[in-house]
Amino acid sequence: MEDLKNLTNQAVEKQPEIVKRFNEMIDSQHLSHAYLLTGAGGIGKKDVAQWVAMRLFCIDLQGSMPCGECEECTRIISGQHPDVVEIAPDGQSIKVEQVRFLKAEFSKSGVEGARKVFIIEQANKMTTSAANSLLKFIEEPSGEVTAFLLAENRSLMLPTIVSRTEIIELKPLPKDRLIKELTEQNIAETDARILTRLTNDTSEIQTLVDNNWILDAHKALEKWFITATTGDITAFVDVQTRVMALAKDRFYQEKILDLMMLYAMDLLELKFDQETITYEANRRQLQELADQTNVRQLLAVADVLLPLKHQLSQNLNFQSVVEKATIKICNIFKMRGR
Amino acid sequence: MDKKDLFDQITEVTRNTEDLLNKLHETQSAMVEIMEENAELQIENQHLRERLKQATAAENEGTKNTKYGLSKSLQNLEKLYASGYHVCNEFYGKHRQDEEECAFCLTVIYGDR
Amino acid sequence: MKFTIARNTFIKKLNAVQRAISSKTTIPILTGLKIEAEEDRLILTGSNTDISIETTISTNDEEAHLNIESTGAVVLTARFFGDIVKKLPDNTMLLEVKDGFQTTITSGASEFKINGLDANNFPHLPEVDSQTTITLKADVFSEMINETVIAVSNQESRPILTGIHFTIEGNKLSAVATDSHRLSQRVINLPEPIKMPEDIIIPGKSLLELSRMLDDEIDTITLQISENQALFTFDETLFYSRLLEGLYPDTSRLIPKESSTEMEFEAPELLASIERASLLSHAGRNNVVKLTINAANKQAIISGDSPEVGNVEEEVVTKDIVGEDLEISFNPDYLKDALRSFGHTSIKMAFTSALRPFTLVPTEDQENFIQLITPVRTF
Repeated sequence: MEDLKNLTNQAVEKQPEIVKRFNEMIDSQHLSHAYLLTGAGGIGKKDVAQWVAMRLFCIDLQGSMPCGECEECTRIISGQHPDVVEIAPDGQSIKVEQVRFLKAEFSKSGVEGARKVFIIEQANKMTTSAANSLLKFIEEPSGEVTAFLLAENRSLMLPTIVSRTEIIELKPLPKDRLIKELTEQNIAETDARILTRLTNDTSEIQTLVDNNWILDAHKALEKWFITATTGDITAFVDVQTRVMALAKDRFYQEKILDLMMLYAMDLLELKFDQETITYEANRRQLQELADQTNVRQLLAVADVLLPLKHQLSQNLNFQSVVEKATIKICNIFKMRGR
Repeated sequence: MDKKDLFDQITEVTRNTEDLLNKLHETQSAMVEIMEENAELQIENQHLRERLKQATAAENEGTKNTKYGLSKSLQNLEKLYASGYHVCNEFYGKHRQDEEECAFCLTVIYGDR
Repeated sequence: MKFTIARNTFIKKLNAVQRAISSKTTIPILTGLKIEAEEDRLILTGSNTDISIETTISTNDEEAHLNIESTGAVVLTARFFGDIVKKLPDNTMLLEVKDGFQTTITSGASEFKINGLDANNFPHLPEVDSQTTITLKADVFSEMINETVIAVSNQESRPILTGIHFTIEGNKLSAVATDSHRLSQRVINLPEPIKMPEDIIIPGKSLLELSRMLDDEIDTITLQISENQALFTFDETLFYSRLLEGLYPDTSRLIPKESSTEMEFEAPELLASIERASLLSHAGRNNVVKLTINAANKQAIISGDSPEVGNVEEEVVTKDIVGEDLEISFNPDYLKDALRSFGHTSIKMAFTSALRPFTLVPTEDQENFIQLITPVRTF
């Protein structure tokens, strides 16, 4: 029960404005037949859709809030409500049988009452023909039907679908809230701060947290950066011995480049006496380094690191790109180590 | 190849096959869609040609009934139906599966007037 | 919840409810059977959302030997619960649900403990309090279903045609089904007129399942309609079916009002001829037979020609032929289905042209039952 309650609150907490908007639409009976909810993963798209379903079905409304505890609410949250039909891609795409099931459900009356809600997750993973075949139902549904199509980005959807739905863009979650959420999942606050600088997407964050990747990456890059900024050319070796093991694929490689960039940004922040930095744990060392170098040098570091992501996207080899950058950084700080 | 690799491989192959099958399904429905669109365009084209004819030959005294007592426009529909597409209100422009006859279409073309 | 019951009665009721339970479902709890014990009765429910079956066993039922010690409800996985109950050793069984929905089933020396689910998560069937209650003879209604369901479409691309369209107006209940290749329509007269006209589409699959449950022991069946479900009640059983939403196409214009050729015959005679002719048409590539009518000679010939296999020709025994000569081709399977639905009776077949649908009606009752078939164009 406890975590079920949490889920109710998530729509309200993550997207309070959207929830308020839906509340008004329901009160004034201006709910449309089809919505396209867009926004990054973990932003609360499904929470919002389920919240609306609960708002419509709840038998114990608390003011304008679903109770989250009645039979209707709990069945919606656990995906067991026969009149709240949920579809998510089975593997790479939404399969032909799934679309068949959806169409059949669209053409039948509700099981328990006249009202039906459809939630289609990652709706962009429908094939063009599948999406087109659903158009008819979205456009002129029979009965009290509300369909939610969820996608990260509206540009991923067919224009025919976009033009027939009301589009609601969900706002990115506030950073503080995300950090709080992560620390609740036993992620150290310093790591949480770094993670939220890398991405807003909770599923990406999960990937980065898995197997302690972020922890290992933080350690490896800390050693690499400190070594490089003392002008010590052994930082070049660190790339092979420490960094490469973490750069499993393009996704991780990009994140490594982002993490490197964040060091350069921290140095600049400190040089200009800014309070918040990413690598709070290394504040003392970074402050010292910032004090000892001039702005020109720090900008040079940023200049070295900035183009790396672009180079990577042009299929240049990750290791050689990073090694080259390492040598350049060492050169900038050559005088300092001696 | 040890057993686990073998197993992984077969899983991989199965997955690939599934993907391929899905793609086939997609391609198939895409093709049907294009055919249907094509049919609709044909109808439209026919209509346009008809209009063109009417416009250029103003002396033409209305639509003459011809074969089976069908008017020109009904003949067009008949032609379209014969080439495998629905002409009825219910499924207009859709491909007739397996060339099965459709009572709705036949009523539109030959029905009582 | 705790009760004892005679196993025979329980199994019989369980079998009825199990018709609605499928092991393939998107909602896990629907693989389950809901058992609910009230003060004076036991209610079993199964549902695949399309149909839901609820049946009641009363404590007054002498054969059931039902004794309810405490009330409550639980959902048990239908497949293995059914298997367990069927294999229990004794004539009676005891079922008890403890905290956390753990369920103990005891019979003779055997005791099973299985995990149940919260019955609150089971779909809630709507209360149907419609003013219109239609009472029908079970055998007549079952016949009506079987006569019309043959023409229901099995293509999901046209969901609305997968149902039978029922309209009730005055004292007439009419059922129509068409897959656009053929059409069946049956009308029955109700003992008294209905106040509010009704218009619903019930999935053919649901109705087939219903007609299988209507055995000789069942005399009458009632139909009630709510906003989202049709409810059929017979004996102690409630049978719910979801409806198909949308507008059913206007089928009345499909039926030709006039005819140019008419032929009368006994259904079994033509059926036998068609069955023989279709032996070849099935073997060939296009499943078509041809009917050639020579009105002057009162002669009707069925022929099938499959270039790869061979050909067949036979003269049909008819009672009468009037009108113009005609050559018409059609899918013999549609005619077979239609003729079978008539049984042993005299039929009138009416044609307007080789291109338009033709109709079959019983000579005795030409108003209330019609089968329509679309010819195949052969040019």
